[in-house]
Amino acid sequence: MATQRALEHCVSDAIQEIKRQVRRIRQSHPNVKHRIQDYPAMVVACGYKRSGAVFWGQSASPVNLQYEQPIKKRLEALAPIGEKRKECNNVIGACAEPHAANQVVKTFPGCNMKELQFSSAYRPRTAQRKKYCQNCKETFYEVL
Amino acid sequence: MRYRRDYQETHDIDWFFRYKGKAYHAASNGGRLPDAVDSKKNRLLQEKLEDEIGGFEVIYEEGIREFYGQGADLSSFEEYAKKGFISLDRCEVEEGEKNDGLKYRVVVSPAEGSFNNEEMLKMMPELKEEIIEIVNNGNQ
Repeated sequence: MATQRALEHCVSDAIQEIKRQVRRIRQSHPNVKHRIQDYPAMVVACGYKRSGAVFWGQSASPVNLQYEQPIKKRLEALAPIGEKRKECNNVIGACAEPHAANQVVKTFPGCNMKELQFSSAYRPRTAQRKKYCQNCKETFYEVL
Repeated sequence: MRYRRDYQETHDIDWFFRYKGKAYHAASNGGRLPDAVDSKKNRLLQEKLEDEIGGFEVIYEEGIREFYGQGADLSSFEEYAKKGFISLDRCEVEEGEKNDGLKYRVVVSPAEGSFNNEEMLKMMPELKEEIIEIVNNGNQ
């Protein structure tokens, strides 16, 4: 079983790794469009209770991402992926939460969404804890 | 070339500008960047500034550490202030409010002087008052 402690540990490691990566890429002077040399706005870890497996995800454009069917269905119940709705400032499918949950669903096809667990959401730059947004609360309504 | 809108909204981009004769660093915190910010020049600035040695003494805004809370890592702002930039963070908006504002808060500044590498300053856009709103922590 993934514990809250394991989730927080995973996201804390992710923040450190992101910071190292941003610095390393900038120091290597690529100036190449597709090398990520900026912090993601948010990061979160998602675990699957039944297995104890934990994955982390970061905010990113959903434009070229094929979400797994259960996540896709839930996101599209709010509005089309890649669009905004008046209840939330974030683009549907751009948050760290669906990106992290997508990895769980990809690894454990048919997993029960009620058995997902999330860490707190963090801004990597400052490591500040942030609130889940309205889109995420509605997408993962059983667990957030 | 501009950063793609979806990239801007999902990343916390370090960007740089000149304003009233001083050099500024700003953390976008998932917000929109002004049209004047060129992604290629901005990436190049990020890379060049990574190599700069920061020798400036810095001053944190009054009450800013309390504002961010205990344990918050403000080192990325401090690094740029040590290099001579007034370092800003984008003010977050409430859920449901429009996210297009360019309202920034001062986090930390050099005690004296400003970044003065002419070659790099020329790569930064010069912003006017009507483009960006800069507030001090006590003035929100």
